[in-house]
Amino acid sequence: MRGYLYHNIVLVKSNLIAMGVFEALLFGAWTLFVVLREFSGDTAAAGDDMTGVAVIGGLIVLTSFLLMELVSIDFFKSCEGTRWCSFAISSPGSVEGYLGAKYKLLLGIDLLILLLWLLTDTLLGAFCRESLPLASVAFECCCIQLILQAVEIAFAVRLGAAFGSYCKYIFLTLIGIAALVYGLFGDISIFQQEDPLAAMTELVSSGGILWVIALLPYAALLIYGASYRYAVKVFRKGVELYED
Amino acid sequence: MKTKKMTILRLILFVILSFLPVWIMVIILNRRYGGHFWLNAPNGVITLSSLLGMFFPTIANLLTRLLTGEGMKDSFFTFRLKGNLKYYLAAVLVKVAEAFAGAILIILVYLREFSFDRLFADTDWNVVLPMVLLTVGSNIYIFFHAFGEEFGWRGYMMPKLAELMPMPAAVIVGGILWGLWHAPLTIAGHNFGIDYPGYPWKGILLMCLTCIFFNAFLTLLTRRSGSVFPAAICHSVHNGFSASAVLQVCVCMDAVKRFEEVTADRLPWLLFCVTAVTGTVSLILLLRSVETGKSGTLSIPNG
Repeated sequence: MRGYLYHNIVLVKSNLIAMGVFEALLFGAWTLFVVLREFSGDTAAAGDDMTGVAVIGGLIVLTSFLLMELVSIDFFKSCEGTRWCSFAISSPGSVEGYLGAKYKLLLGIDLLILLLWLLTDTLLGAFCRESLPLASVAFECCCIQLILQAVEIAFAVRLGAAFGSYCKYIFLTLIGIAALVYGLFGDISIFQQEDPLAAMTELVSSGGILWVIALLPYAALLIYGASYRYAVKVFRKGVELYED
Repeated sequence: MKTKKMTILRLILFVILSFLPVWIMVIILNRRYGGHFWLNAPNGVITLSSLLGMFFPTIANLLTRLLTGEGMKDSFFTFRLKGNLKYYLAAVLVKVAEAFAGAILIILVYLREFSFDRLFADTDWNVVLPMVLLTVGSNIYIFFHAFGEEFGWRGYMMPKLAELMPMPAAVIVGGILWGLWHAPLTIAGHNFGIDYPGYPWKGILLMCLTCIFFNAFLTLLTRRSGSVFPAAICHSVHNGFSASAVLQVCVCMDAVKRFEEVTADRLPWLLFCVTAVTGTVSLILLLRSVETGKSGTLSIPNG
């Protein structure tokens, strides 16, 4: 396992470093933003609207997980060669160990980003009177990221990294289209209220959406596990499509 | 003999390195916030100190290995999911079952005057059930703080104790050490507050007893799976999902008020009974395990 992990890290070392730099910038930007608000007195207690802060915070969290795009598919793209994959299959860990290392490493990076948000929230909460806790948003983003990775990797292993990426982008585009259609024809009165943040919090806390949010973590783990099992099953067939 | 002496030395070093920072941190915080910092300090400081404190056992583990040249062999720092998924599931389900069992026990003992209909008159199950799932789910993912403790106690201390003494003794001694590690926090008002008869000694005693039985279950998970992660997830769910939390969301406001009147010296002892049952069963399973052998080593299982 250690050997596979080392191999994967070396493969995408420069991407990991780039991702690390961007993550540091994002966390630094959020920390600076919160600290400056604290010192400038722009707080909810002073009557400042928190909706804008929440939107900025949410976007930063989302971006921190989207940065995974820098590394996730590269783990597979870099290994797309018949000779290398044949060697991997013949190694002691075989397909399970080879793919397992990639899945575990990606899961580990997702959880590391989640941990960083937890630490950021804890530190800011200790020193600033009003810090928006983003760990809960990061938690849901982590679950969504796991599902996206599961879909992408499964297709990447079977049909190649490029196809895996296309599938993910198609999936995201469909979600975007659904959101657009809802925005055009659905009920968007919640965004027109005096305090949209409070209204959204109430909506999220109500029945239907709360069930989705509650079941998402379990679904993410199940889908990720199923993706791994499927990838192990179809790996050899996928290798036949690779170039030498 | 040389190996045993080295093990004892490592254990002593680990205990010092894990105990000392907690004591120092609590003394500083108590001085800053006028004693009993857990009750007086701002929430942010409490959260930060508890997050930091929970990583001291891991730091002690790593430092001890570094200072004694032990390396990272047999560290239990691996998922080992294959064939061990049942232990990951048990880590979550047993703790959830304990929380509900504790809640039922509290209802039977302290909320007897409430009828079933009255108890759940205000309950919106469409909100309560997803909240329960979300709480448990978030504690499965966000287990880092619990990992900070488990990598030290189950990942290092318990294997060392198991090398020196039979498993039942190791579990008891490990539980007592773990409970005493919590002592400065118990004195500061964590766990049981400060308004109970026999403070703080009764609180420290109860903490040690709870830790002994909880240690049995966590050690069983670690030994059977060969990984510290099931124990970390179990510990995380234990911290984040309790019988009190179940009651707070499930029952009516009158019952919550009645439940909150139950003093700190009675309720923890009641909930301890549930932990004791799980711990006893775990200890029996540990004793019956074929891998224990006569020396009681906490060896990593093959495969």
